[in-house]
Amino acid sequence: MAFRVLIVDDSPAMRSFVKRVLELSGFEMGACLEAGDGSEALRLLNQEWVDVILTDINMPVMNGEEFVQRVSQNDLLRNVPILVVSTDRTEDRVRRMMALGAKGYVKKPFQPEELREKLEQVLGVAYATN
Amino acid sequence: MQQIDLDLQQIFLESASEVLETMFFTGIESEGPSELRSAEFSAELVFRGIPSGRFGVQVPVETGEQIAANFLGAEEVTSAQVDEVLCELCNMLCGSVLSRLATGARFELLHPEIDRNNLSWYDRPHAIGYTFGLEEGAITLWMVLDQSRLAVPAA
Repeated sequence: MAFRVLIVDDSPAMRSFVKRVLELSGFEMGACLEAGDGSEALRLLNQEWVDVILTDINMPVMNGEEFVQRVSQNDLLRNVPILVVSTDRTEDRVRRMMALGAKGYVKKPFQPEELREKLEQVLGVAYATN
Repeated sequence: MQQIDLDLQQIFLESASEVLETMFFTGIESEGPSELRSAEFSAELVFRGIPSGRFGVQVPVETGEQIAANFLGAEEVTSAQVDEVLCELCNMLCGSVLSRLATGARFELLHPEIDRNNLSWYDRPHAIGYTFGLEEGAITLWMVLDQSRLAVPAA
C-alpha cells in the first residue's frame, strides 16, 4: 500500500528534504502533497485525501498549533494522523501538540529511520524494509 | 533556580556536530580557533522565553553551497536555495543549542532571516561566537543572550 502524504512547512528546502528522506527510507509513499502553512494545507485537504500529515509548528499565516487544532476539530479530517516535525524540543511543546490532536512528534534534527518509524507508529502499520 | 551553563564553545560544538552529521551529511573536522573574516552567507533568528536572545550562523560561499547541496540532494543549488537551507540550519542549530544550554528551558524561535548586511558576529555587542572547521570549509555559530533573563527554573 502506498500512502498519500501531506508535508506542511514554510521552508521549501525542508519540504524537499523530508520528501527525499521518506523516499530513501523505504517508506511506501504514493502522492506527496506540499503546503507552505496551515491555511494552505486546509485548502488542499478540502480537495485531496491524504493518509498522513507531517507538519512544522513555526509557520506564517497559520501556525502548526492552529492547523492541528483545526484538523482535529474537523469531522472529515480528524482521523488523519498528524506527525509534528519541529525544532522545538521542549516537553511543554510536545505535550501541547499531542493534546491538540497530533499523534506523534519528531524533533529536528532526525535520522531518516526515526522519521520512518514515527510514521509507522502513527499510521499503525508495519511494512518491510529493503 | 539554576544558572545556564555558559560553556558555549562545547555546546556549539556538540550541536553543530549533531545537526550537521544528522541532516547535512557533513561533520566538524576541527575545533580550530580560526575566525571567518568574510562570511558570505549569514542567517540569524531571535529566540524568546527563558532564555531570550539572538542566534546566528555564518559560512563562506563555498561552504554554504555545499551544505545546501548536501541537504537538498542536488549537484547545483541557487543562491535562493542556499538562503533557505541556511535559515533551516540556523533554526535547527538554535533549537539544539538552547536545549543543551538549559534543561527545561522554555523558548520560542522566531523565523530565521538572512542578514543581507553580512554583519560579522564580532561586531555585535556582547556576542559570543566560535568557528569550526568542516569537510567543506568552516562554520561560525554565535549567540547574544539577554543578560536580564539568564536564570531558568530547575528541571
